[in-house]
Amino acid sequence: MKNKGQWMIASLLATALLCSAWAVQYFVPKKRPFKIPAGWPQPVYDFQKNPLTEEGIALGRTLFYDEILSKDSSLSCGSCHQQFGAFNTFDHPLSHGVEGQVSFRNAPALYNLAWMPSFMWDGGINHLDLQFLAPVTSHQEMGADLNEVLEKLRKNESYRKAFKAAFGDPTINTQRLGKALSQFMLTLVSDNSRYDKVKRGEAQFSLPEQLGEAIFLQKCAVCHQPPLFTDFSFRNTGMTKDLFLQDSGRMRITGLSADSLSFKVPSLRNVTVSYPYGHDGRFFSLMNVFEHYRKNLRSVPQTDPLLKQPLALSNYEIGQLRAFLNTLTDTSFLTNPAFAPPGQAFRHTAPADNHQ
Amino acid sequence: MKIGHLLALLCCMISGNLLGQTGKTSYEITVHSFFNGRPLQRDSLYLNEWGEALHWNQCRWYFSRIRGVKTNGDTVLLSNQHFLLDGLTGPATVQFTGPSPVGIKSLVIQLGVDPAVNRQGIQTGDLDPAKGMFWTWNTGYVHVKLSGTSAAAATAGERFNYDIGGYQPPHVTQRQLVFPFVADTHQQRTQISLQAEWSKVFDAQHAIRIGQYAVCHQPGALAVLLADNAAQVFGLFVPKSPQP
Ligand code: HEC
Ligand code: HEC
Repeated sequence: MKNKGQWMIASLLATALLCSAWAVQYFVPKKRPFKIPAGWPQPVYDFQKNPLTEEGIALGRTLFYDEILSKDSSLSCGSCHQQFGAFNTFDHPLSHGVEGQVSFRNAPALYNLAWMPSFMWDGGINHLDLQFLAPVTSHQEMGADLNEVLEKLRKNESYRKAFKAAFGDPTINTQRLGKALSQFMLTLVSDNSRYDKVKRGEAQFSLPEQLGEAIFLQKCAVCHQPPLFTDFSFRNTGMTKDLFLQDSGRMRITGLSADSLSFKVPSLRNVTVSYPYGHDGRFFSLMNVFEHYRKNLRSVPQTDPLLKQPLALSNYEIGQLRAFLNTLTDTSFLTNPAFAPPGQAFRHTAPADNHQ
Repeated sequence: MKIGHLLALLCCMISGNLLGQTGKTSYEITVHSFFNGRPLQRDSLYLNEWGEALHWNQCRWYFSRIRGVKTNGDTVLLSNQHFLLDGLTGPATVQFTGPSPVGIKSLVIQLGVDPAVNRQGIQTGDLDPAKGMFWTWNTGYVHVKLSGTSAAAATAGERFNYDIGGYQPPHVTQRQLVFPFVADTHQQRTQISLQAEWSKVFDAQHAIRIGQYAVCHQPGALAVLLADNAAQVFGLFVPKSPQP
């Protein structure tokens, strides 16, 4: 009798074990390897602490396009970071926030974030996972208090399911929110422009493009270093301080006067579609930027040694530089349906105005 | 997941058994908060050294890297956790289990968050940014957060607010607090009582007048002055005999 009871318990236990093993198997999120394009440096993002999974990426994408992250449910990350502008704020110098407030900087394009060591124009944010906290908790942007956002998500059945699918249990906390958003943003890799095809030997530069590359390598590449087209440093390019915005750039973070008006070197991939330009969006066109480098820059003691003098650029050279910069447009990135709002096809036309 | 946990637990149990005593003593550190000897609470009015009257609204801080130093100079890590404490809700306590206190002559506690943690993305538990002890825009933890109101503050709502943080040189603001190890040990429970005299934030080492400095909300020179003062706030608890 006693023996039989023990057997019963043992076999019950065994079944339970098998079942839970099966459940574990069943719920393990599907890994997605992160591909490093040939010849690119190692990413700085620590994928071991946040391995990419199909479920995690899908959750991040949903969150990225969900207004639930803002106080008055009027804005999502995607409202300011739009795919057709390489995830910048298309055609708006300063991003519009909750309740019509204007934030004091131009929303940068988002791609190749796995290689970026620090975020924001002044580099003040030191980890991609943290970035979403800036708009969610700043009065100028999404305004919503973080705890309110977490509560809203926790009350939502489909989010509980999605977090469970991505992380194994339905816990929703700040860390997981950040990780999920990062997973989606990390997949925004732009490595398939005409420039990349030429470097892979799949295409050839036209003569103007080739001449443009030579000028670029000579005059721009120290800061806008290929293949990422930035060295991620902070530099003063002789842009004068906007008296209304009073933005001292990197100095806001370090407190050092040597960093006054230094801003992070932006990548130039997809630059033709990511206008306006500059940390405050003061340049409406590439021509404005060229005019800055060759005429308008004001050298101050903090200005980068490479830009102490305006750059010598003839109209002719500008034409060639422009041809080269055009090769950095990555159409497959800009139209990739995997980056569009979930369930929505890519919209080829930018909305005429995105104000409300 | 579950099986993973179970296995981890088993491993812990086995290795714990093999290695013997580690993690056996339970510690409890209690911090009693005062202002000029009176218990710290929200609705009381206090006067600082400079005659500025103030009310408290928030008084929170992190303790971390709790260590013991033995007579022979060896340091034993008692806990590597971070604890968020609140001085306005009665005595604040920290509980953990750690190695035996035998031979420990002084106690060292870090006031603030470990520098490395500031670079590791988002943490959970007491270190969750949702606790409000965090700067995103200039990433880093606020080690000590003190706020309230005072007529001396020339700010909206007469608010003063000291967010003491910053981990990068030269504006390092985490501080190491050293106390003689005075503990009440019964079997495997060790109890330590500390006190925090918050009036010292205004005068311990540097003069901080609310009229002059009502806000600190970024790393920098002011945060360093405040951190120096905050480090002097803590001491061993000396129960007072009731005033005649
Ligand atoms: C109101 C517009 C707005 C919204 C909404 C918004 N952002 Fe941004 N984003 C910006 C601006 C402006 C910056 C640059 C800010 C700065 O440098 O000070 C930025 C910067 C970033 C950066 C850093 C890029 C770099 O090159 O340094 C990332 C990443 C980012 N945002 C992700 C997000 C995510 C994720 C969300 C949703 C949680 C979001 N943003 C919502 C406007 C917005
Ligand atoms: C000394 C480093 C340096 C050099 C050299 C340099 N740049 Fe820049 N570039 C920057 C920095 C920094 C910014 C951001 C400036 C700001 O907004 O404050 C920038 C911004 C830009 C932008 C605007 C991009 C955007 O998304 O806002 C363009 C376009 C650009 N540079 C093109 C060029 C070209 C073309 C050259 C060569 C003719 C060049 N740069 C040389 C550092 C440099």
